[in-house]
Amino acid sequence: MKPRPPTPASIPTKLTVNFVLPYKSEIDNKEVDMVIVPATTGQMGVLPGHVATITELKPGVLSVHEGNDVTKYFVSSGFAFVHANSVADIVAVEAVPVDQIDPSLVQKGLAEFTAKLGSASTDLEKAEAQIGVDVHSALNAALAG
Amino acid sequence: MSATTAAVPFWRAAGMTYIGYSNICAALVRNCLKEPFKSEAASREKVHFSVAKWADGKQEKPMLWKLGDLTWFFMLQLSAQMMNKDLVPW
Repeated sequence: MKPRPPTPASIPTKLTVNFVLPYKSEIDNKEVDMVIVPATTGQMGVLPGHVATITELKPGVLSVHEGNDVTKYFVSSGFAFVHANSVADIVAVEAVPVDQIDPSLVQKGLAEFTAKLGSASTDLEKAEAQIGVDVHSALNAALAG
Repeated sequence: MSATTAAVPFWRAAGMTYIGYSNICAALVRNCLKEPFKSEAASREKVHFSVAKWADGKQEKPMLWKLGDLTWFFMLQLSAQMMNKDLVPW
């Protein structure tokens, strides 16, 4: 394993990104301008020189900006590790390009879990229904935006 | 979303683990994919379990389960419960 580069004295122009899933390495050591991650506290933009941070991700859109090109992924959950040397590691259980999402299935799922939330009796059932509503609402918002 | 405002997220308060929560989220996302991506994701996530009961010092005939990804989290919970009792898988 290669050692991580040291923190440079001046802020580099690019952010180095690693984005991994359990079954593949989606982005490997790529230099980009900016990423915007769906942190549980809100969308978080990461530029070169960002302060070292660890943040939990919620279901939402991860966008990778390179010049005028923007690649958008929908991540199910995960974590982002931003290091002091302008390297960001993003891990997720599932991530898909936004254009692979089927809008009709999202609407169906949203309706189904909203109904389940209304009829849930135990705390666990309520939590499962709430997760369903949260994920499908986030998918819906991803398609709209 | 209530998950972000409370000190403990709602799913944790309901007794779920982070692994359980994140696997459910991932399964829901996979279910909303267009074809052929949905089938690809489903085949990738397929999990097989072979569970055999240990009785009279011998392993009985194993049962094979072929499961989709959403159910395997519940299977893990079940196997954990079984291991605490007399049934010993693996």
